[in-house]
Amino acid sequence: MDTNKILIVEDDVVFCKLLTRFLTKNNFEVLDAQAGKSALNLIENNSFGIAILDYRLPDMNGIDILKKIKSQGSTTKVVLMTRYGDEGIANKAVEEGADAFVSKPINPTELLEVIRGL
Amino acid sequence: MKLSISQNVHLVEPGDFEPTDHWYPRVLNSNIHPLVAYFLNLSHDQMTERYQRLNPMADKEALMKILKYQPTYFRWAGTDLMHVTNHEGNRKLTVIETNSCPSGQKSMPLLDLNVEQGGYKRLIEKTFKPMVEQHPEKGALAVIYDKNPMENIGYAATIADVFGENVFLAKFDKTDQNPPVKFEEGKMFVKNEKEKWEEVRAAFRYVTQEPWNRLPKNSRTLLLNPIEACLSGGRNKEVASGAYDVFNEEFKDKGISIFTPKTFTKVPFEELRKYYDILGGSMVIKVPDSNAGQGVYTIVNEEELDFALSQISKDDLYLVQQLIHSNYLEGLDTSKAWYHVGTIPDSKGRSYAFDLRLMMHATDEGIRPLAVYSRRSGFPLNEPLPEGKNSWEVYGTNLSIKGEDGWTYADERLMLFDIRNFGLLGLGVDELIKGFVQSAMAVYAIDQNAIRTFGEKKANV
Repeated sequence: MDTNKILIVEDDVVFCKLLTRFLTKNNFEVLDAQAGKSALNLIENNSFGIAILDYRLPDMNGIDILKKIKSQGSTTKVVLMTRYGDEGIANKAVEEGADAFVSKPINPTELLEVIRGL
Repeated sequence: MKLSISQNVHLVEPGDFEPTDHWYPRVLNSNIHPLVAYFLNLSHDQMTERYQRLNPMADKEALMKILKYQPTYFRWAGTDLMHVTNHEGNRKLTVIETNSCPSGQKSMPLLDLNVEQGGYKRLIEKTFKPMVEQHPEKGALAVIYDKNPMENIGYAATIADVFGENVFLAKFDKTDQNPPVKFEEGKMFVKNEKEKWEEVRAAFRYVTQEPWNRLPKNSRTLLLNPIEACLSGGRNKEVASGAYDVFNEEFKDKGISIFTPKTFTKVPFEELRKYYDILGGSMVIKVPDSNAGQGVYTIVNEEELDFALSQISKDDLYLVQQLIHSNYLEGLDTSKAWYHVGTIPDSKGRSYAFDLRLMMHATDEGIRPLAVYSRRSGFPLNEPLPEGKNSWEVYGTNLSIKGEDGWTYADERLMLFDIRNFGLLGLGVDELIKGFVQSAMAVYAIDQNAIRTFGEKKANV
């Protein structure tokens, strides 16, 4: 597994673009998907060290993808992103095996610290 | 930068501008062609003088009035032009369309290598900032957009730097049932990090898909451009065509006119076939408020006509234009037919149709060119079209491609105005001046149409 390879799953294209830029500058290789289905395709064909998943996606939610990753026995670390007021979801994510969760708004530098701490 | 402070809203902070994110990669490594840099630095006096040398009947005073014009509504515009010739070799730049909120910065090499933010900064400093400073409303600054994140993040970062304050970057999509932007009594609000509505005093607007469905007229929040610019022709080809007619009538004694392909407006569906015959078996059908190459059909045979008719609504009215032909054809009316000049033939002899996108902005000295680039078609003008290929391949130049994951573009057909590409277009300073004057006249015509429709108002300048 390439521990420096990160998957971002987030339906906001601008978010993906900005976070990809930031993480690439910090020496990570980043792939992104804007929907759950395309994320699952990437997961099937790649080996990621870390997956950063938005909870709310157009076709499924981040916990569905988290479950899929964990059910495959993958060692990919999962960070779930939640919104203001979504604390209940964060707790559920941890129960399902998420390695960390971060609340939006995301400060890229703080997210980097979370990633490096995994 | 704070990402996703609420759904589809980011907070851009001073210092966030990153050139690698706001230009296409090959533009970052390009150098502007010296002739293009020369053109962009020409004064209005020089351009007026030269235009009259090229068009001896043109009235210099009228030309100067147009170049120094201060638009009330339409202060940021982009025209698409084509380089055409007739049977006598009389070459012209013809206006295909004029758009409010145009793209272009990401395709424009730096004019001055020492100004890292390039055209983004010129537009914000010379157009947006003076307007905001004259606008008495309270609130934050925002960029609202529905496409083109590369340029819009760049605009937000430039505004943050120029104003020294944080800027909301909010997606305002036409399909969003719960958008992060709303208007109340003409004032714009955007959702902040606590999902509360925050008032906005001024917004840079790149909302291009049916913007009239969500932007109010007479907005209290300053918008560059306001919706009135779109409603008056800045995003409707039919209305623009009417505005050009009024302009040409007004200036008919001044030796200047907006040159467009022969145009018929408000054509009912059932009469489209008749126009195909009138125009000699070819034409272009346009859905009036379409953009990004959608809703435009080039037609050169019955099969393409049938296809176009199967794709469009029977209940709408259409704009029909004479096709600019690929090559000389026997039987065409030589007094009316126009042909693509095309690119300089490559080593395989291929010459392609191309357009010229010219972005302009209103500054304290009048209308100025800001960015310029070209897009070529996919199939050469001077080769027979293979069976099954649509004529759009020969005539269509738009780069936007709508994919499953949003919009992408055909990079191989983008022609930069840099040292490597500009020469391939066969254009010189004279053509750039002619194209700019045509474009400025189109802006004048549409802005005057807005004033006639919505009234004089303080332009916030």
